Amino acid sequence: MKKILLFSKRNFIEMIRDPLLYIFCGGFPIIMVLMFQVILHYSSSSLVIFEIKNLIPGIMMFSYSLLMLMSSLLVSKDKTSAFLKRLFTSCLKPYQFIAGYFIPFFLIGLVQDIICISLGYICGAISNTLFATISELILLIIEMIPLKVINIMFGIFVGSILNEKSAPGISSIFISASGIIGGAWMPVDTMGDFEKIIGFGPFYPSTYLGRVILKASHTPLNEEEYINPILYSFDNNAILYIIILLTYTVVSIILASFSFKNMMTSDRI
Amino acid sequence: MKKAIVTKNITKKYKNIIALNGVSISINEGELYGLLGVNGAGKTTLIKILTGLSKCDGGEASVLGMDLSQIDEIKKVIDISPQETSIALNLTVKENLIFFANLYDMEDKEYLNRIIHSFGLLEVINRKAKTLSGGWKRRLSIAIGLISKPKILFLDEPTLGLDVISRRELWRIIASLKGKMTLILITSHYLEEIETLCDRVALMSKGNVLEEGTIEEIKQKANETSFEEAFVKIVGGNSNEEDFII
Repeated sequence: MKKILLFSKRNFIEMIRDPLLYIFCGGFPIIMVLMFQVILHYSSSSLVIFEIKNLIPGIMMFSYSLLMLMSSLLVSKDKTSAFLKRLFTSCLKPYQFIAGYFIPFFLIGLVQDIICISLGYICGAISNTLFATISELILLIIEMIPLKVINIMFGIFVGSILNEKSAPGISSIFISASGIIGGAWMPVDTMGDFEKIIGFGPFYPSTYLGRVILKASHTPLNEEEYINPILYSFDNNAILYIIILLTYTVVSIILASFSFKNMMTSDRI
Repeated sequence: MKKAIVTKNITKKYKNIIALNGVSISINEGELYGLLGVNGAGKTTLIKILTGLSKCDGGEASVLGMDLSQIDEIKKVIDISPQETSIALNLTVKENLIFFANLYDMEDKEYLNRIIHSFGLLEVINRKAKTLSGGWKRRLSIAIGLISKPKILFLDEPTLGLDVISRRELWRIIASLKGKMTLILITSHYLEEIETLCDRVALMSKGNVLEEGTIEEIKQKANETSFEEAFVKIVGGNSNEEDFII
């Protein structure tokens, strides 16, 4: 454990001294929430998808994909600079490397949670609505853990198989995918089969479950639903999405572990 | 004399390229040993195999009496300064040294201070590694290699890309390390470096060891008075000047 914490500390320092972290992991979610709130404020029709209970779980989901970018960059940079080569001749084990990379990014993910939740409360206060109760907040943070793990582990996976030039490229595909099929700012609940398909990805299930916890409203399809909104509820979809998220979590951990271990004994380092 | 490293017919292939073609060398304890060869000779590949970073396809090797199947035990007594600088760039010099000291459970602060002073790192101790010049990065890299108090230190192209002043400064440091550990193994393609520093040398080309011995022995075998001429003669300076006439 001592070695894991030691390596985590190094990675944490390395990260917080990188200005990209503040731009991507801090600035991006703030700008997006503010931008969508401005759109909501000035739009003539009611855009339920941009209401704070709907938007915050989506922005949280999206912000974790930036963790993937940062983790893949750090691992690939450590590989290119031969820092890992030196460490591979030490007695560190593969699981110690993976945990050492994972912990600091997980902490950054929690900071992102705090940023998004704080924005939720601020926007809620401005619009005179309660964003979430304490128990809902705790549940929301717990619900988002699997997606954090998935993104960080995929980052380690990509960083261990690609170099620092190609890793950001692949990560940007992941970021775009989370933006498009994550359901953060698209009313996918009105898109029929599209919603079913993206439900098998790792992103939309997190958004959906977050909205269930916050009791957000579905996009209204008619006048009556505007008056009496249908709330997200713990239905069969929610159960399926929990299973899907846990499956991706396990797969991502296996992929990261396998690729890292393989890198340690292959000729790529 | 006791052997620190012995390799017998080590082979390594990367797809269709033969990186090592039956390399057999024998290195005594207490030596500063050089692997000399042009780019692609197989020097780094041999070091990677001896440090457990890569696996050989055939042959056998022992490091301080342990064969390569005991790589975890070998790792406890070796360290490497790779040809890339291999330091944490956003950490300061001090943070880099402390990180590796903690990693190797090295609690001897006096020893750490000695390293800092020997390498003259005090004047850059609080600077981030990424702001250092190439020469300082190399110094730090070699200093880190000493933190674990290794019995064998592998220096892979320690002065690659450095200016002549920085190179001479590093030579002085490397020479001063002799006798402080069981073995120092240097790879280089700078003849002057190997000639200045090493007790014995292996000349490598295209994955083969062509000659092994002291500088004097190699010069005698090649029947040349200068080491450079001997190297060119052995490694393959057989190109005809007429080939280059356009």
